Amino acid sequence: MTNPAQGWNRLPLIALLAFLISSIRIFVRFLYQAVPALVGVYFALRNHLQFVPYVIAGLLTILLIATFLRYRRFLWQFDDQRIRVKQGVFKVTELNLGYERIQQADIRQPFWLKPFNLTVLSLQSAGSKGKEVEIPALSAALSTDLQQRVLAKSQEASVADQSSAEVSDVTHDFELQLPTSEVWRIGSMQNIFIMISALVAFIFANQTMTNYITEQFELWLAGFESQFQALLVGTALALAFFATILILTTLYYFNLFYGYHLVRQGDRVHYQAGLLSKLSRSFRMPKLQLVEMRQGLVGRLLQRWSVRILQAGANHEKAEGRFTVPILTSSRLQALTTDLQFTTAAWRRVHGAFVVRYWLIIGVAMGLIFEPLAGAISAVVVLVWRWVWWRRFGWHVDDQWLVVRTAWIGQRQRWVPAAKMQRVSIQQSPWQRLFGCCQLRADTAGGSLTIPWLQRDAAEALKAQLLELTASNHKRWM
Amino acid sequence: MTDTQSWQNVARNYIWYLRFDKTVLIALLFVFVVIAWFIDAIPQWVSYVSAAVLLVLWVILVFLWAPIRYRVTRYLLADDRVHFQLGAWWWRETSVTHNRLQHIEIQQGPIERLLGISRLILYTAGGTGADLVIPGLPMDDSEAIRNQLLQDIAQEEISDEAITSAALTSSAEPQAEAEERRHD
Repeated sequence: MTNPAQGWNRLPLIALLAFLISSIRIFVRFLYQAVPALVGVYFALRNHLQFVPYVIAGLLTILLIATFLRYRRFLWQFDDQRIRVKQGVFKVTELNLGYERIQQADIRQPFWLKPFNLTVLSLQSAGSKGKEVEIPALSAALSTDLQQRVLAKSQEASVADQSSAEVSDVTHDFELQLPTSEVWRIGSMQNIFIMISALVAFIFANQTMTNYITEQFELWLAGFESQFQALLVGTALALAFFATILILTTLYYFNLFYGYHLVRQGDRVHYQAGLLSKLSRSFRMPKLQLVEMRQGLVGRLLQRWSVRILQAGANHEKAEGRFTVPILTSSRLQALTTDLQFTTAAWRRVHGAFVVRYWLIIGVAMGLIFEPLAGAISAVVVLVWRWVWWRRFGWHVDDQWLVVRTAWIGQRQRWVPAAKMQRVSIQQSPWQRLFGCCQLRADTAGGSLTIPWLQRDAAEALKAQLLELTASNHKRWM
Repeated sequence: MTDTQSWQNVARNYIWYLRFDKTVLIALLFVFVVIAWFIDAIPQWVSYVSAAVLLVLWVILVFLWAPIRYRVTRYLLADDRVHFQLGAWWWRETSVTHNRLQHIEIQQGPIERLLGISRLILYTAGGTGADLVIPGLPMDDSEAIRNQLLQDIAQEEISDEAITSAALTSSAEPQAEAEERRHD
């Protein structure tokens, strides 16, 4: 592999494009937030509008200069041990990241970099939020080389494995491919209400926009002859809106996960996906901290699952940044969990007093706010909900894994290696003491599991077991 | 795990620290009561009642709560793990093992310095911020515990193998693992 000189490297000139796009993105977001202020300025300076073109020209110049400076000030270098990045226009920051510390390595190829065969490399460390190195516009070969270095413990091993990987692709220890028909379904499995609420939150974050929309909506309502007509048209529009969102979500996820191909070779796990922009994401098995299996309402109807594999510090990450298998049929899930060495979970329940938690609070509150009948109805509804929740809640522990299953309509299973505990605690409220119960919380570097309403002695025993497994294990946990 | 070690209380001076801490809190709230007294829109009896409530609260916190809190703040140093218990009504027991400790800190504020106590803070990778805080330790104890823990961590032998590894099932892996070890 060609190693650019052991000094500070600058990015190729085409990286200007990447910086420009990111600058524009920041700029647009800033402008959108600033719309109310801008409107105020507009009204105040109504009589001096001849300056507007100059102002716009000035802003664009600043944008271009900022982009150029960001490009000029971005320096990076790497050696056998670490990668270093120096960046910043006014405040210069230098990030030093040892390969051993890196949890996950991503190579993205946005469509605008494809013609130049360049990629964006981002490396996530276990540190707190924002400890991420991102190098825009690296040659594809160099990115892959760096990703390999991260995955290997040393350079030599990387070179050796790379050459063996080049020999044949058949030597994968595990492989999982998603056919296009499956990729089409990913969008529908997402919680559409989360998308809609995100969209609504974004639109209404801006006061001017909110006022404008409310005004227009009232005018529009006044235009109808009868309430029924307004309701009919409104419902139709809402349905159309839902359908549009669903189509957009489907297209978005289709683009994201098109051609999904997961491969494990030894300890190296890697997936590649993407239609317009390609993503190649990888991590090493020793870094695994938590595995999350999820099935929503639609997932249950379609009998599909999704899986996320989290590393240390991943709980700070957004969902897009995580190692994801977006859709799995039962048989593919079976294959994946077998490869992850999941054991068979013998689910155990918690104490029945779990059912009544929150029960009366909601009922009484509803009764006080509205009327006693509403209180009684909500008490029954909540009781049924809590009962189903309790019935489907389960936990399991063995020498390999601690698992918690929470379920209502869909379900979520979180699996953590039992020997990778960071902290284990049990707590008891006066209310729980009445029933001789405790709550156990197991913190790992990838997230926490909570088991509420365990019998006190069972909780103590589980805590002792987890601590013993962790304390007596002298293998590397990350 | 050894049973020879037993639960230990923190320094008695910790009670005074708690008393000071809660007195400051009550004093701050009292400032609001005083301000309310000067505002005409708020009836004066509100201020009197609030002041009385605060006084009662202060008496309870200082003379009742603080000594009890001190008694239910305990720690246990076992061979390979640290346990910490806190609380009477809302009871909690937190444990970390030595082999997961990331770093250790001793903190001492001005009041704690006056009382000769300190806080021992154990960090792991398990979440945000401090993972296990033992308050009210005499400074000497804090340092002794820290040194002992650091010594333990330094002596710990970590094998090359990882807890989660594909090596267990894969036939191709032992070779690669051996190769990695050779390069180490």
